[in-house]
Order: sequence, then structure tokens, then C-alpha cells
Amino acid sequence: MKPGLFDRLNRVGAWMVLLFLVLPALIAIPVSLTPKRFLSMPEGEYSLRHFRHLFTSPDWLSSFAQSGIIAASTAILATTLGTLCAIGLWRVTSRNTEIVRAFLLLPLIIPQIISAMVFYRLLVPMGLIDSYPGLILAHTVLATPLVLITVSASLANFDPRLEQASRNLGASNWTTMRRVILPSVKPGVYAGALFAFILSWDEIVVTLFISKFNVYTLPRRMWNGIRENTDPTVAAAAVVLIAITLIAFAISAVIARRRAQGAASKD
Amino acid sequence: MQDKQFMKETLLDGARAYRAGRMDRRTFLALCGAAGVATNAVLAGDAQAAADHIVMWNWGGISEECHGNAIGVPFTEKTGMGMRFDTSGPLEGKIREMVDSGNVTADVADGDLFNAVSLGPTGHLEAIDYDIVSKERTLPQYALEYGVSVILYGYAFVYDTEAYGDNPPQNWADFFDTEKFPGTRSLYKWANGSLEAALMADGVPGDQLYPLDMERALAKIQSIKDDSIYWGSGSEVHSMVVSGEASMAIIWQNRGKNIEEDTEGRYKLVNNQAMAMPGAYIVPKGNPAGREAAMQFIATAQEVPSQLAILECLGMTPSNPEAFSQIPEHQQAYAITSAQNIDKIVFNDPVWWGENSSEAVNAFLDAIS
Amino acid sequence: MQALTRYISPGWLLVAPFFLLVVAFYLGPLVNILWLSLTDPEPGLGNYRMLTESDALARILWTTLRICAITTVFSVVIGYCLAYAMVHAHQKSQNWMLTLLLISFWISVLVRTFAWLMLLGHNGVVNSGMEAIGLIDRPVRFMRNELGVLIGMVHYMIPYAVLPLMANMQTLDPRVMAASRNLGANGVQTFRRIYLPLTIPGIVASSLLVFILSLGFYVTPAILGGGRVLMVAEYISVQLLVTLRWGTAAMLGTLMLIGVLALLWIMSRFMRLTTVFGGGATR
Repeated sequence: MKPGLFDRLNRVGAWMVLLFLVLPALIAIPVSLTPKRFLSMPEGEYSLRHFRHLFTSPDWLSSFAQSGIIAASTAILATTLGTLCAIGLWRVTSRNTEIVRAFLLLPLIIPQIISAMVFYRLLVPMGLIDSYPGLILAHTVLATPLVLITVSASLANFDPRLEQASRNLGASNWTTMRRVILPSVKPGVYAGALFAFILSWDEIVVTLFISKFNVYTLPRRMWNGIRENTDPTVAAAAVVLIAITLIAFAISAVIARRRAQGAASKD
Repeated sequence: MQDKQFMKETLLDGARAYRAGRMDRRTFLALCGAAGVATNAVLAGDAQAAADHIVMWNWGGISEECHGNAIGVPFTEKTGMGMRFDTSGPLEGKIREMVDSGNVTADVADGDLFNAVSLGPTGHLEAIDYDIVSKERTLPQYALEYGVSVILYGYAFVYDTEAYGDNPPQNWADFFDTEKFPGTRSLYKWANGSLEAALMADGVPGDQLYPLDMERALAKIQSIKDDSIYWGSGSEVHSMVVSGEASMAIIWQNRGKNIEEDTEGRYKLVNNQAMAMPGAYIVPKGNPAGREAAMQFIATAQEVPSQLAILECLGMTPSNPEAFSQIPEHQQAYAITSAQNIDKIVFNDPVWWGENSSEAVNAFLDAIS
Repeated sequence: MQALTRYISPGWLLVAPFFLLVVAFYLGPLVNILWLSLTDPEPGLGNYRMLTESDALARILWTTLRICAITTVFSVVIGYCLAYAMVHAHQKSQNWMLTLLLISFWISVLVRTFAWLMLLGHNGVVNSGMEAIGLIDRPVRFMRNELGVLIGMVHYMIPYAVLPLMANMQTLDPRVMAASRNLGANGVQTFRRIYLPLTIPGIVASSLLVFILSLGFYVTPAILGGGRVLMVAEYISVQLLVTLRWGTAAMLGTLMLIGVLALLWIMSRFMRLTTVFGGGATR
């Protein structure tokens, strides 16, 4: 079938939309290179001073570190909980599983502002406002559904007869889990861990409500910088974040390819 | 900024070295002198400092240094206690949350006097002890049960001299007159000051503003809605003005001084009909250093040298009448209680705001959106 | 024990930790908030009565619904064209398109909002560019108004609109379209009579998804709206942090929650929810 005029126009339009989606973020690059003290486009002259400030300022560095710690902890906890949960739901053959699954996905679907109220309400009486445990707890609840989804997707390709075979050969529950199920859902687990990390690393709305001073994550500092709208260090931070996004994206693409290869070799 | 950060670190390193005996006292003092910072403030800022200190909860930025020098140093001399900072900004909701959570980590919050009216009766604040704090060293209407005004800041406005150079706007009526003075206005997003300005523009005398006639004020504000943008923080309005996005802006008077300097006089501050806002140091209920220490701190802040130091450093105006006559020449035009300005300004009523601010803010947000 | 495992599959044990976490640390306070909407500041339906009594609340709800609806229409129409082009592109260009789409999907909302701030501002790149080529002689106000919010939101939502649509279009059998052509229908007719009806589930799912996400969107309206575009999410945050009216905030949250759950229920009639929400994640 030959593509008609409409198709061709639409294809050009599609590329333009894709550029519209990606290009605006790149404005951060020139702004971050301005030699001036305030947010502006550089005019002929470029300077790395804002990057230097970003990487030497204790404030920004501590935000990077805090976000890293919180995101890594969240990723570990969410991956553990989410993987167990996905395997559990997969093994239970009951009509209730879909309802339970939908229920467990709620934290992901419910608008963030409501989640922010929820955690604010939860953490104030617990005395965990503005603390690592508080933020990690909140982020874990939000991120685990993502792991649940990715691992469940991996399990959908997994042949339950393999598990049966493993048991028939005398393997215990634990051995079956460790030697048979986990290896085959590995790509889903990795992808889930990555998504959980990113979610926590990027999370701003809930964080705005439950952190204030002791814990000051990177998005929190960005938010402040954007609201104040003066310091070009924010632009440098945005560039770094874009770079990190691209790296994470490359990693996830590799995982996805592996998964595709794994699926293909099984067929 | 970078330099300041560097200096701060050098000093903190020095403080640690001094404590550990690796640096002699004289070198340390010289270092502090070079940085223009008092020894005690540095020692108190050190994370290793002893437990007996007071924590001031303020808005960060330059005020950390200013409060440290102007109040922290004399306070330490008087009581031997150090001073530390929580710079996360004591929003009313945050104060309430801190007290409700039972984990009170701040002794003195740099708030507004109207916070004392709304948070005091609900049990979130310590009452002011007027045996320690002086009622005479503040304006009579600003010595309340749960808060006392320690400084005044003001809502004034700046205008673009290039746009209105020949016939400059002189009062709030001019600010709200977009026919005579076309151009974009920037107003404060949280209602405060903007409502009073609107009423004065509409002809209400400055001493008869309260209780505010909300309908009248909002109607006036809506009349220039198409020409208005709104700001939420000092640096935001600063960049709106400096970038030329707004040709007139309601502004905190100390910020207005910075703008005059940054634009080399292109924008000019008008203090006529400026509204004096009582800033207060309020004490969260159950503060860690104890009520008495917090009261001592507030009393220190009331003293004339501290008042004048805050004016010099932050541009916040003294509220202690003893200090009014001592305002230096170069601050006369900017300090709202200076001899030059005091007859032209109006005074905010914290009691009205404490009791009505929720309704006022919501109505204002509704009117501008 | 055996009797127990006959009725309760051991799989539930693996589900239990997260299940309990959600119940204790999410559902619990959530119910507490619903309760608060009926009890704070005083027991009764006072908070809900405000909806009929306060013009302000009605207007905020209306602004929110209007902006969400406009965002949804633009995102889904643009997303539909994009998904169509992607599904029918060659494998290689499809991969490239997907890469660009997912990159934009992954870039932090703060970075994107910041970028719009730089582009659309008074002295922003768009304004100075248009001034330089003589299109305009005075800066146009692109932000601190509804236009800015819409630009930011549509930009953010397009990838979310595309993913369910693609999932739907990929399941269509191209032979159906070929048959239509063979029976003499032209391209437009085939599209209108065959393709479009077959993609309705995708359109519904993608519209509902975008609408739901827009309802609770906070970052972009708060920054690009400049105080002039007050939507429910920002209003809730003001009630919590500035005016301290938990009851009002809880009431609005409850309304939003009911709305979202209702929309999800409708959506589940058209598509498996996990497919939609996993769209970004499972790729």
C-alpha cells in the first residue's frame, strides 16, 4: 500500500511534534553557559562558572547526595517489595488477584497532590517529617507499583510449567524461587529498580510537603531555584539532570533489548 | 555568593581547628576579623557546638548572617548561649506542624505579628514574657500577648523612571491608574499589602483601613487585572522588575532599595503611603532552649544597637521608638520609620490579619485568577 | 495448616508485605483525609456545602476542568497523529521516534518547566526571536496565564496520550484496512469508517489517562500560571500550607479522588489498567 498524501504530511508532522517534545529542554544548555550572574542567554561569551558552582557548592552537592541516598534506598526497598508482590500475585490463582493488583497500583494512579496530603498527614504525628525514613517510606509506597508492573510483565512471559517441573524434580519453594523464577524475571526486576530510582530521584510534589530543611533533595532545590528565578546554577543542574536522564535511558534500552532477546530465544 | 560560601567554610574549619587546639586564639580572631564576622557567631554555627544555644528559624539567605551578627553576638555576650539557624522559612502551617508533631526544633521564628494572633490562642506559641521583653521598646499597638514586633518592613512600590520619568506616580491611586500610567503592574500574591494599597487608591484614608472592606479592595484590584502579574517571593519580583516585565511593582521596601541599586536608579522606590508591617519573633510552644532564653533573645533584638544593625544589614526598619531618631542619614529615604517617612506611612493591623487572613488570602487568590 | 493453605494460597504471603504497607501507610491516612472532609473544622457537610455557596470554589473547579479538558483534547489529537505515524512507520524510523518520545517522557518535569520559563518569558527566546525577525514589536505574554499552563501541560501529556494509543493501534489487523481498500473505499473513507472506530478504545483510554493526570497536576500550573491560573491542586496546597484549612483541602481531595476513581472505572471497561499505566514502564 502506497502512503497517501495525508500519511506523508502526518509523518512530517509527527517528526515536528517529536522535536517539539525534546528540543525545548535543551534551552537549559545555553542558559547554563551564560557568564552572567543572572538567568540569561549568553551573548558571544561562554563560561562554565555555573557548573563550577554546582559542583563545589555544599548545598547543591548535599542535595545530589541526599537524592542519591533516598533514591537508592527507595529502589532497593521498592524492588524487593514489588518483586515479591508480583511473584505472589502471579502464583495465586484466584479471581481476587486482579482486584488486589488494582488496589496496589493506587498510589501510582492517585494524583500526587492527594498523595502529598496523605504522607503529610501520616508523617507529622509519626515525627518523621523532614527525615530520611519519612521520605524513603513515602517514595517506596509510590515506587513499588512500578516494580510490580515491570516484574508482572516479565512473569507474563514465564512458563508456569517450568516452576512445576522444578518442584517435581524435588526443589523446595525457596530453591525454585531463587534458581528458576528470579533468573527469568531479572530484566523486569532491573527495569523496575531503575524506574523506582528515577521516580524517587525526580519526585517533587510529595517531597515539597514532607521535607523542609534537614532533607533537601535535588528536585526540591531545583523547585526553589525555579521559583526564585534568578540563579543560573539551576540551568546547570537541569543540564546535568538531562545528561543523567539520557544515561538512564541508555541503560533501560539495553535492559529492554536483553529482555527482547531473552524472549526471542525462548520461543 | 561563592566567596561568601568559601569564607564560611574557612571560618568553620578555623572554628574546629581552634576548638581542637590546632589553631591559636589570635589567628582565629584574625580570621574572623578578616571575614567581618564575630567569633561567637562562627562558633555557634559550627555543627560541633555545645548544646546550649538558641535556634532561630528564618528565611535563610543574607538574613542568616545578619541575624547572627546583629542579635546573635550581643545575645551570646549577655547569656553565653550560642545561636544556630534553621533557614527553611517559618510559614504559619509549618509552625503549626512543628508544634503538632511534638518535635519542636526551633526557639524563635522570624514571622509576622499576625501569625501570633492566629497561632497563639490555638496553643501553638509561648506567650511573651513582658518582664523580660520591653513593651516600651516597640510601638504600643504591636505588643501583643503571643508576639511582639521587633522590626518593621514595608510594602511600598517601585516604578520605571524611563516610562514615567516626567510625571512620576506618587501614591497608590497612581499605582492603580493604568490610564494615566499605562504598563504592567506586579502585586504580591498573598494579598497582604495589596489589599490595603487598593483601598488607599480607592480613597480610604490610611488610618481608617481596618476592618478591610474586602469587596471594595478586590474590585479595585480586579480593575487592573488585565495589566497585573503576581509575585510570591522577593527575588521573583526583583527579576520581574529588572527584566522590564513590570513597570510598577508593589515591593518590600528593603527589596526596593536593592532594585534601585541594581538598576542604577532606573527604577525608583516610592515610600509615600507605604504600609508598615510588624515583623515579630514568635516562640513555638515547647521550644527546646526554654521560654526564658527565647525571651532574652527577643529582648536583645529590641535593643537599639541590634535594631540599627538589622537596618544596615537587612534594610528592615527599627520598631523600637528609641531607635527612630538614630537612623543614619543614608537610610533616611528607605527606612519607613525615619523622620523623613514616618508621617507618610500607614500601619498594618495584625489583629485583623490574624483573624481574617485565611479568608482574605482565599478571596484574593480567587479574585486574581 | 494444610487446611489453611488450601484456602489461602502461599502466594499471598509474598503479597502481604507491600499490601500491609499500602494499607497502613497509604490507605489509612487517605481514609483519615476523607473523614477530615466531614469533620474539620466542625462535623457535618459544611465543607461540601461550600461548593454551592462559594463562587470562588466553583470557579476553581471550573478552571481545573476547563484546562484539563483543553489539555486532553490537544494532547490526544496530537498524540493520535503521532501514534498513527509511529505505528505505520518503518521499523527503523519507528525505533527512532520511540526513542525521542521516551526521552521526552523521561526528562524531569522540573527541567521541562524550567525550559518553558526560559523560552516563554518576557525576555525569553521565543519573544526575542519573534522580535528579531520583526513578527512582533512588543513582547507577547506567553506565560503567567492560561496559555502558558496549557503549553506546558500539553507538552508534558503528549507522551502519555501516545502510549495507550500505540498499544491499541498495534493490535489492529492491517488486513482489515487492506480489505476495505480492495472493496473500493478510498483512504479517507477507510480511515473514517474502519480505522477510527477500531481505535476508539485507545482514544478513550488515552483521553481518560491524560485527563486524570491533568486533574492533579501541580508543578506546571504553579510555575507557568504565575498565580493567575488557580487549579485545584495548587489551591489544596495553599489550604494546607498557608491558610491551614484542612477541611477544605480534604474536601477538594475527596472530590478529586472520587472523580479519578470514577474515570478509572470507566477506563477499565475499555482497557486493562495495567496496560495503560505500564505503558511507559514496560517498554
